[in-house]
Amino acid sequence: MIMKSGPHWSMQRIKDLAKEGRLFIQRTRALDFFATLSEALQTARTTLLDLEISNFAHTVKMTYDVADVYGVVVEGEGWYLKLTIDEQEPEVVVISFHPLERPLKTRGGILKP
Amino acid sequence: MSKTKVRRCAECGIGNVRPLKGEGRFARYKTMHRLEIPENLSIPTCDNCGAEWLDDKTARELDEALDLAYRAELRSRAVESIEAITKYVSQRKLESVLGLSQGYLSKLRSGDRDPSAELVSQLALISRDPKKRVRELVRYWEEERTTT
Repeated sequence: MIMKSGPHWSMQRIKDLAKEGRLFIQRTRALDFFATLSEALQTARTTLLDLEISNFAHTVKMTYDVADVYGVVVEGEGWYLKLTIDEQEPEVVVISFHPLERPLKTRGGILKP
Repeated sequence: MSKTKVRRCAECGIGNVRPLKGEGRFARYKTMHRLEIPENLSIPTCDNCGAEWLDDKTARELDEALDLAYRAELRSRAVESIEAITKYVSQRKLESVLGLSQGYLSKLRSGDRDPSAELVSQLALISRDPKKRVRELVRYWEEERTTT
């Protein structure tokens, strides 16, 4: 289910947690774009710290969690970022972080792969 | 992540994410596209969908383990190439055209040195056709360059 209002999770909260290193990211083949896993995590962290409202695409309601989807530019390419916050830890949970497979409509316009 | 910490998996929303050891896990590291992750290394893994998760500590531990495997693989590939090349060209000659100090390749063969990925790449290319490639390099270094 896709919701189209503003982000569910506070961008400031995301940035505060990312700044503290409270980041949990799924290890997918997309991380193979980076030379090392630490570099992948560092790029994800930098991306979270640089998030702007213009990057926001939509919010997705999943089985238990609500996730926000953003379209960001990583080294000149459009990337898909889906995240949620686990307030029990607390930490930012990056569910997806990979190059775009298709154009993504964000607040700032259409981001192309 | 502590060993007892359990999180719910955000990928499937059903399983629990627990530290899991095991074989048959691979990762890319620097130039190598597929290095095996040591089986004694724990990665937070969902017990339902198998999704693997990383935090800073896990990424650092994985990178350290992969770095050891990476350096061993570089050494092994370098030795393999040197052996293939020195069937046709002397080791001294090879060191000379690659700008290496005399005896460096012996140290590398005995495990006394870690080769760079650049050197391993050069050795791999030369080993495909040692006589021809070394002759080309000799000619290249002998060429006089014209400056404008």
